[in-house]
Amino acid sequence: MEQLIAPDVRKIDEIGETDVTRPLRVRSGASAARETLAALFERPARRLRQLRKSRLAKVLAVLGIFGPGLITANAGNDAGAVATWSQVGAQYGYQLLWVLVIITVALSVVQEMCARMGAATGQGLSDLIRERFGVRGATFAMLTLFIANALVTISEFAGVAAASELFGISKYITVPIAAVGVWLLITRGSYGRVEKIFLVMTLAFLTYPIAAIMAQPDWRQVLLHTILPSGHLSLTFLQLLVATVGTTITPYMQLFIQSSVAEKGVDMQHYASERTETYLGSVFAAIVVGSIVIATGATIFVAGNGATVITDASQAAVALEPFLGSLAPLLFGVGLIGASLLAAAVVPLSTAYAVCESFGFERGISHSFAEAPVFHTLFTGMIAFGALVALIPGLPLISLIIVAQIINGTLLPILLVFILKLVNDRRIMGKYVNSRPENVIAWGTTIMLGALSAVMIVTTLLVAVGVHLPTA
Amino acid sequence: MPSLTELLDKPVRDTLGDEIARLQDLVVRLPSEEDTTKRPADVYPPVIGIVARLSGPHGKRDVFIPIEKVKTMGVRGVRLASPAVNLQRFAKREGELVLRGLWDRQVLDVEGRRVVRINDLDLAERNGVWRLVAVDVSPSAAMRRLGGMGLENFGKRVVGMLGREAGANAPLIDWKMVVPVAESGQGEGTMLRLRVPRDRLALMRPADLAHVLEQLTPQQSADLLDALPDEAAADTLEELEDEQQAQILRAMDPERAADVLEEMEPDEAADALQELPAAEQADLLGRMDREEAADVQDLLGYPEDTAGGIMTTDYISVPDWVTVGEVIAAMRARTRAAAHDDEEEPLPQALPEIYVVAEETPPPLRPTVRTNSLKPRGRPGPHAAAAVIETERGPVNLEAEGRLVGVVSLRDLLLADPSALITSIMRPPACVAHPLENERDAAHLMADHDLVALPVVDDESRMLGIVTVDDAIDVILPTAWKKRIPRRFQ
Repeated sequence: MEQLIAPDVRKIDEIGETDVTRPLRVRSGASAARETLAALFERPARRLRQLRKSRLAKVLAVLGIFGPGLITANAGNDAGAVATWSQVGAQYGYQLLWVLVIITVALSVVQEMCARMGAATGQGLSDLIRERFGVRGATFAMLTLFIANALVTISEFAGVAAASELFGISKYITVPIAAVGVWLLITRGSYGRVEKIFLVMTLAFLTYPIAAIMAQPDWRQVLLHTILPSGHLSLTFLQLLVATVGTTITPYMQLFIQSSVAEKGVDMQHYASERTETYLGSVFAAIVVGSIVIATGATIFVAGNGATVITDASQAAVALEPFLGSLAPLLFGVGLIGASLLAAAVVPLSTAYAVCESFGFERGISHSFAEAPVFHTLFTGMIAFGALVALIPGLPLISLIIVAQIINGTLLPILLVFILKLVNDRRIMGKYVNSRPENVIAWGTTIMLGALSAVMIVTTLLVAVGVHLPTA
Repeated sequence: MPSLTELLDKPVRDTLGDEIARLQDLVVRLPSEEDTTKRPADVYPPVIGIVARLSGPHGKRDVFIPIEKVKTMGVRGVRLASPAVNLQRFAKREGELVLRGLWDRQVLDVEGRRVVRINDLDLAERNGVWRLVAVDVSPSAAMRRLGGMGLENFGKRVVGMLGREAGANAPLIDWKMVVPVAESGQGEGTMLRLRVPRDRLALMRPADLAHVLEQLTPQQSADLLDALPDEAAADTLEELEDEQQAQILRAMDPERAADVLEEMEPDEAADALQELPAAEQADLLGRMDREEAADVQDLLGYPEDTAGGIMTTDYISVPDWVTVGEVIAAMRARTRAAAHDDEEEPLPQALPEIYVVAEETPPPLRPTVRTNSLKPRGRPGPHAAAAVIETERGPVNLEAEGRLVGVVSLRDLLLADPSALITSIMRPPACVAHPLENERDAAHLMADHDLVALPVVDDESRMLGIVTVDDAIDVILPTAWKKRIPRRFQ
């Protein structure tokens, strides 16, 4: 009994038998000391291993942070943007660079408004529209978004088709594979893992700035056209103008940026860095787009001795030749496929989400088709429709893509009005409503684009019924 | 049971049957807590009047007509009981709510454990009183508002062809099971802020409520948690990701946030605080109870991905000279004391086992110089006298400090003879972790040895804390991939 009052350390030590392989296992007394010693000797290796682990973790974390930013910046450079801006460069040389400057300013302002709404309210754009404008307003906005995004999806699959023709594979093989593949990736929930691959593929477009420099453009001309506005009075010019806006300031990008800011939980006290990031993203996108124009302008436009109309991807890939030589078609194709698939998955899914969220349909990939029939029908339908349109025999793919951007451009003012009404509502934004310069730029963009679209539609209709227009 | 959509915009007729206005809105009185105890039926807000829109030569004018002057109301319109109508413009008073304002708002469905958007409202008349009884969240209600019953039926048919919506069976949510969610935004004043019924919220388990909060903004979450007692709010927060915990704490009033942090497990509180900027972290720690803050602060010192980072300091450790009976008595005494005195810390919520330590003698000789940078936990001394069991060798300390010599499962404690020494029933610790050991290694160690808790000890095998199995699971289970990408784009 006496013995038991003081704990018998040795006795306990005997019970828990030794396992020297686990250095941090502690029993007591001498064996503990022994093992602690062993642990001390082993620790350097262990620490190194930990360090290596954490360094890898850090790199991954950085990628994780830049992920959304890169996506947003690169998502603008999808099939639509590359086709449209290549066409601009091929048809008008550097002449439309001034438009890019204006669009970049407008893009920065619009994106920043949406990011600010996300931070100030913590809500997505479709939520705010529903709360502020009710069922009717939400229906109108969602219908607009749906049409715009269906068109984007079409152009993404057209992008896949164009790229596959570049490799000499029939689009009737690649587009169905791409559609089924994207659908499987979404429904199996494995899209997130593949997304990085698509992202890496889009990096191919980052060769444009280098190609632009190596093409040795006439920098005096480039600078001149960046500053001095000039243009043509023709329907093609008008249409291309609307297309450039429609492809650069896309509705779904605004939804994307607002949700991502809202869900990151950024509030107005911590918004400053978010604002910078948004502006940087726009400028980054503009630099890539600008170099597409310069690269195409310096090669295709010059080689064609003036206006050349791009009809297939191999023509557009020529712009990369000064840098990549014979590899140009390959990298162009890889970039185009990556960018197209990236958006072909994200756009239908996010549209289905937004529409279902607005009306209360069950949503989410975790639900089966039987549980969420509308959600599944919507995104499956968009993918199928996009792929089918891209497969219509004899349809010129590049023109198809550009027409999609033109319609997108005419729809954009509708969404911009919703955004502007929301961002200027003091009940929603409090003191964070737009400043006067921001309103001037944003309303200016909306009205100008609206007017431009109206003129373009009327002219297109007139031409369609056979009225001849004076051409300058 | 007509819906609001079916009632609104219908003619308001006078006693003669002539149309004098259109029904613009309904006004309900939101019951206070007293109202509902006096008249339980008032849980369903009673309609106290209608807003009628008169259109005259001078434009439109909304007037309020008390419900007493309404003879009948239905999908065909309103019939007034008295000819006289006060032409005063309508203005909403305190405690009243216009039903149109509820459209399109988000609410929490307590039973369904989800956040939903109100597509329509359902009203019912019983014993001559109209009441708001249910919330309609079905898409067909949205279509009804968009284009009347015709579109609703058409929509139902189209969706019916596709399949059966998961929620189609129960599109109506009993108003009793609805918790309003504050509108998010920066504006003040016109905001719809309804009282959050505490009893309804309390029906939800912490894990379920946490699941709902994931769908709300930090500010909305903080508003909801404000209606809960500190302890329930803490339990709910603990179910969330560290980052979200931090965002919600930040959205709370700092005093309240500190109160909630005190109720959280020290390791969870430390993890949440770790996500905050240093200044805010210090501010909240400063507002916390000193002892609780000290516990949390010690844990903050360890890197996030180590055993020290995920361990808790909330455990029971007793000196090696006590008997089984003394330990049980001390635990009971503490629980009793905690029930009466807020200052007294209750026993840990999860209590898989208790630890036996060999106290360094002479007792608390706190070494001032440490061989490494690791700080052993600075446990507070014995608590108020009432909670302490005295023995011949001094009070029984449930937070004894010292070298870990053994582990006693609660089962063995319960079954042992009360007079037996604790050392006679203890087992040597199967394994222990160093605080700087990688959290994954510690978690896998637990998995391999089927442990419910893993003691964490310093180089001199002094007890610092324990890693509980719930935290180990969090480490092993793959975390939701890519939290940073918006959910809808995943």
